[in-house]
Amino acid sequence: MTLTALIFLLTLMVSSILIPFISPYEDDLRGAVHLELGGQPPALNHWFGTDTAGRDLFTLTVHAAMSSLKVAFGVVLLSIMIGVPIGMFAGTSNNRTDEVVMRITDGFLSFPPLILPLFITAVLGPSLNNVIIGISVSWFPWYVRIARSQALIISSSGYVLVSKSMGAGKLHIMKKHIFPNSMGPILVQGTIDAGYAILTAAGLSFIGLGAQHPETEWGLLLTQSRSQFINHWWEVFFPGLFIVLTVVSFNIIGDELKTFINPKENN
Amino acid sequence: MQKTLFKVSGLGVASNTAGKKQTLLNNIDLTINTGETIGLVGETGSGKSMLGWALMDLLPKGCFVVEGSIKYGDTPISEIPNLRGKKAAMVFQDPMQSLNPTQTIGKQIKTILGKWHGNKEETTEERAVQSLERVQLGSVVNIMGRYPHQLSGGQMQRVMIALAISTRPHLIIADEITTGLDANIKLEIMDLLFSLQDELGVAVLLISHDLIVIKRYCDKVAVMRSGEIVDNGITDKVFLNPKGEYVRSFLNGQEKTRKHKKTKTPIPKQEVLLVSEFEKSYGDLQNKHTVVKKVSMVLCRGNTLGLIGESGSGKTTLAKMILNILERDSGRLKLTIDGLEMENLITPHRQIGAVMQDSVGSLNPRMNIHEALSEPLELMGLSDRHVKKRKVVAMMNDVGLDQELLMRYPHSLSGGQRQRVSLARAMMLEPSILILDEPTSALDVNVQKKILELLKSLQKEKNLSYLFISHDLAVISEMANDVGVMYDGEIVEFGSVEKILNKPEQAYTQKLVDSSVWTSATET
Repeated sequence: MTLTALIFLLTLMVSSILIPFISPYEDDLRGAVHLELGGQPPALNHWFGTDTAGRDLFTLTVHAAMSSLKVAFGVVLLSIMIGVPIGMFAGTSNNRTDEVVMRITDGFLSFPPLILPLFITAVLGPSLNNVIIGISVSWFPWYVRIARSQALIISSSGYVLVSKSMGAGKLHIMKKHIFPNSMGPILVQGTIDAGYAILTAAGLSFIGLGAQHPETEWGLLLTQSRSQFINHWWEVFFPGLFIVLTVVSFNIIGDELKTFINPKENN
Repeated sequence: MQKTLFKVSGLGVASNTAGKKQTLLNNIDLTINTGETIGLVGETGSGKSMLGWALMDLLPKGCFVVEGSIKYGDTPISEIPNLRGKKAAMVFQDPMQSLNPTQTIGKQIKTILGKWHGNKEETTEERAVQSLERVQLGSVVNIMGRYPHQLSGGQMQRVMIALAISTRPHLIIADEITTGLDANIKLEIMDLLFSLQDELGVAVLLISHDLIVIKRYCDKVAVMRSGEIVDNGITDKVFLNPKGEYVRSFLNGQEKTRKHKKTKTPIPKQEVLLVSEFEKSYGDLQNKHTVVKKVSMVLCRGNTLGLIGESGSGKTTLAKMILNILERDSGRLKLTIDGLEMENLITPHRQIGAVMQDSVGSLNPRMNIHEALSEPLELMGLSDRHVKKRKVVAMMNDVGLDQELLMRYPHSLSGGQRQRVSLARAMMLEPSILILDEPTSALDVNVQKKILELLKSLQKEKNLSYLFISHDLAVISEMANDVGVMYDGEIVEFGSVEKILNKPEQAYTQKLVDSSVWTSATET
C-alpha cells in the first residue's frame, strides 16, 4: 500500500515536470483557447476530455500537480522552519517564557483552520505563494507544540543533563540533542499535513484566492469547471480524483512513517 | 498433592529477522506444579523473559517455536481457551509502561474484570475495590480515580499485581517486578506477592537476576544461560551444589558483591568538594515544597561518598545542584583542585563529571559512540578530528571497550557496555570528581560487579573522588568510605560506611538497613 502511494506520488511529481515537454497540447498550459474543441468527453486523443475552452484536461491536471506539490512541500517546510525553533526554544526556557510562547501559539490555534489563511491571502493578494504563506502562518503552531513537547521530554533525559553538566549551552543542546531526536514525530506530522495543505490550497484556489489563470492548480480547475458540473462531469471528476489520491497517498506514507519511527511498533 | 500445571518439554524458540535465524531458547525442560514458586535466574539476555512470554503464548513478532511443546495439563497451550488471564497472568518489570497512562486505575481494573466477570457495573466496581484492598491500596485516597503517573513505583506495581490476580489465574509470571524499586519497597512488594500466593494458592514463576530474592522466596530455581537451562532443582540444593563452573561463578559472583567489608584503608583527607547548606524548594510561597533542606557535606580526594535514601528523598536533586544543572535557592559550592580554590561555583565545571542511572536514556540514541564521546571535547572547543579520535580511542581502552564499537549506536550495545560508554564520556574532560547517580541499578549482578571493579580501578589510577548515589546498600558497602543518609530532603545521618551499615543511630537508617534484602541475606 505504502509502496503504491510512494510510486503514485513520485510518478505524479516526474510527470508534472515532464508534461510540458511530452504533451502535444503544451500550448494549453500557456492559456491557449480552442473553443471549437470545448467540452469533449474523455477519448483516445484527450484522455480526460477537454474543458470549455478546449484545453486538454489530462495535460492540465497532471501539470497542476506541480502547484499542489509545491504547496504541500512549501507549507510543511515553512511551518517546520517557523514552528520547530520556537517550540524548541519554549521547551528549553523557563516556565514564564514557555507560558508566554504557548499562549501566543494558542491564540493562533483559536482561529478556525480556514479563516486565518483566508484572511492572510486576502490581505497579501491572491497567488499560490501567498496561499503557502497563509496556510503556514495558520499551521506552524502545531509544530511549535510538537517541538516543545519533544524538547520537554528530551531536556529531562540523561544525555541532556550530562551534556549540560559539561557546560553545553541551549543552542548546542537544541542542535545536537533535541532537534535530531524530534525529527521523527515532526516528519510524521509533516507528511500527514502535506495532504491537508493540498486540500486547503485547492479550497482557497476554488474561491479565487489561490493560483490565478493561466497557472494550473487542481482547486482552480475545479472552480473553472463548476458551472459545467452537470453536463461535463469529467471537468470536475479528474482534478477531484487527483486531489483525493494525492491526499490519501500522503496520509498512507505518514501512517507508515509513524509506525516505522515508533520503536514499540518497530520492535 | 501437587498437580502439574505447565509442562515445558524440549522447547526451542528462534527468531527470524531479515532472513537471519537465531536460536533464543534451546531444549528447555521445566515443570510448574500448583502452588509452587519457581525462580528463573540468569544474566540479561539469557532468555528468562522469552520463556515467560512463551508460557503465555505471547512470543514477540518474528519469534516462533521450532521444537518441543508447552502443555497446560495434557493440552498444548495454543489449544487452551482464555490461557492468558484465566490460566496464567504476567506482571512486568516497568509498571509505568504496562499501565495505560490515559486511563484511571479504576477504569483499567474494571475493564479487565468486566471482560472476565461480565459488565454489571455494581459488581465490577465492588470487585475492583476488593482487588485494590487485597494489594493494600484501599487506604490510598481516591485510588480508583487516579492516573498511573499519580502513583509511586511501588503503588503502580501493586496495581499490576491486583490486575494479575483479579482473574484468579493458576500461575503468575513475575518478570523482574522489583527492579528499580527501593530496598524497602522491594521487600514490601515481594512480601505482598507471596502472601497473596499463600492466600490464593497460585503458582509463581519469579524471573529475576537478584539471587538473594530467589533464595529467600523460591522453592525451586532454574538457572539460564544463552537460552538454555544449565541448572535446575530445589533452591537450597542448587545454591549448595551448583552444577558446573558457570553456575558456580554466577552464584558466587553475587554473593561476593553482597559481602560487607569491615575495614577500608583510610585515605588522607584532602577536601575537593564542599557542599554548604544547599536548599531547594518548588512551588510558590503558599504552596512551598522544600525538596532539599540545608544539606552540607564534604568530599575528599580519592574518596567515595555514598548517598542513600529512598526515592524522592532528594538525592538526585542534590546531585543536579552539585553539577550546577539545577539552580539552588541557597548554599555554597566550593571546589578545591590542586590547591586552587573556586568559591561558590554556580555554573557547571569540567572538574565535576556525571554518570546517570539509566544507561539507555543517558546516551543520545541518534549519536554513535564516537560522536557521544567526542561531544565533551567539542564543548571544550577541540575541533581537530585526529586529536579527538586519538583521545576517544584512548578512553575506550581505559574503560575496557573495543574500538570496533565506535561506529555503533547505543541501542546495539549491552547494558554494561552502555554504562562503560557513559563512564568514558564523563571521563573525557579528565574530571577530579564524578557524580554517579545509581550507575549500576539497571545492570545484572555480574555486569554490576565488573562496572564496580572498573570504577575502583579508575579511582585508584586517577585519584578520583566519587559521590555515589544508590539505594543498593550492598553496592554502597562495596564502594563508599563515608555514607550520608537522606530522608525527606535532609541528611539525617552521616558517618563511615561501617558505622552506618552496622550501627546506625537513626531509626530511619535502621529501617533502611533492615528492609534491605541484602541484610537478611548476609546474615543468614
